[in-house]
Amino acid sequence: MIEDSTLEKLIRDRISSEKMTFPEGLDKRINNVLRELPQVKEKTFPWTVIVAVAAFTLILITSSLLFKGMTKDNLLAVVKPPQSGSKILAASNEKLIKKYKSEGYIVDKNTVESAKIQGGTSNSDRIRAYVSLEELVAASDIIIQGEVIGVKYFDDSNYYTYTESKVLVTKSYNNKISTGEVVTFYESGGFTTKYNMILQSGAKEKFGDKYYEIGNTTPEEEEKAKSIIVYSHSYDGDVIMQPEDKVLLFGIESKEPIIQGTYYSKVGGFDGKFNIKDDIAKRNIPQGEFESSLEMTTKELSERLTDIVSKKK
Amino acid sequence: MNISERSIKISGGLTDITLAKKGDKLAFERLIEEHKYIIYRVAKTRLHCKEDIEDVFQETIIKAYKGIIKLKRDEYFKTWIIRIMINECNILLRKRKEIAYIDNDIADNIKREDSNSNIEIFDLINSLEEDLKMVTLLYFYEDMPQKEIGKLLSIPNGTVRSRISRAKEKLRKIVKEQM
Repeated sequence: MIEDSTLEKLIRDRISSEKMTFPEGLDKRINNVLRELPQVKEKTFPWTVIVAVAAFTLILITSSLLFKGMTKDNLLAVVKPPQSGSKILAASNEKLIKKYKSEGYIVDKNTVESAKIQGGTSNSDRIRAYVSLEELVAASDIIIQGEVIGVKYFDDSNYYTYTESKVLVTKSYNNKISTGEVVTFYESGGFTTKYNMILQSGAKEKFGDKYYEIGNTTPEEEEKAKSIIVYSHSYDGDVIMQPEDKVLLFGIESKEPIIQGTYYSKVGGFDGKFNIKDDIAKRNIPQGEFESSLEMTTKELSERLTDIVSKKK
Repeated sequence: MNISERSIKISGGLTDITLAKKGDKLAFERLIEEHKYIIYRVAKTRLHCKEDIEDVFQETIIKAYKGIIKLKRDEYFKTWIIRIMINECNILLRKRKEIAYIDNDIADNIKREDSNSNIEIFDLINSLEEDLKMVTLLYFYEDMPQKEIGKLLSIPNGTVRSRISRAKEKLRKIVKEQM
């Protein structure tokens, strides 16, 4: 049996005797990058920083008013009475809303909307774009129309925030799910603490100066950030689902072990979700993306989907 | 003198970090030169493809250069730049939705293939389970205190301790067979 101290010494001795090697190709690349870095001039007076800090403070004040006394836990708990959704499913909705509310889901749209602080730019992590209904149908495990009856937020081990949404199915196009069933979708983005946002990659867009926690923030700032709730935008630029949203979703059964049980992600991120309002269905395509919103009446969308699905069979 | 101590050495009354913050490109280049091994090793524990490592290294340099002016505590430069690299690796892995599969037999394979002590400790560390690699790398190669590792990786100190302990158990077996 090698003693702990002996083992440590052995390993450290071996490390110190190791020849430090570095890939030649990488060395060249580093030198090229370093050579191309622009010369940074020391700023004489940081007007931009002052403006950014003022804007940030304003946002914080606004958000602190909105969230006076709120923590992430009680944000999830404080909800207003649910408003009625679809008339046809109103009775069953109420029961379901009560159920999911008791399980910690946010069931009131107003709670979520008032909590939105700021979106931000995003990097798409989608594998590909889906430009037509045909492509979406071909890639989907389930195609459903429904109403979001509850949402819940959580962070993974890398501090990425996800939203888990419970969607009550009002119509199923490929019969893999029945009307009246509740399916679970997850999306990137949602609410988290400011502290987790600081730790998360990509927080730069939201917090500017506070990109990386270590060295960039004081311990006091870090501690304070743990109790501030912020909206973490979706990384593919999507608008995440909210309670009472009426949606048409193209779903793929997820293989990633993010949440327990059977759940779905949208086909192609924002490509796979239509929001329905006043009988008009359309996709929320972020600025800069080339896909069309495929805006049409819900009747037309329904007819076209029924047709495409029947041909697929 | 370890890398961290060297990086904050005084140069004409100012450290390289201070100079780099003032826009001194040469000082920044020296910092990268001094820290490139640890940045590279960190990337290598997370990514397997040479091109990916080069890409994240480039991004790390650019982000560090742009962000160094905002670094409040100079003594944290090393952990700060490692954090940037880890974040860049995470972004890439997330984009790819790549899952790093753990091959528990790698350590055994290395043992069998090369029973003498020619294998670098880094290769042994890199053959450990995913959750042990980074902690062990920082502990042995960088002499980083457990508390600092915990803060860098955002895990409790107890978890750092248990991971180091698990890693040592595995390394002990390999080292014993090499003796």
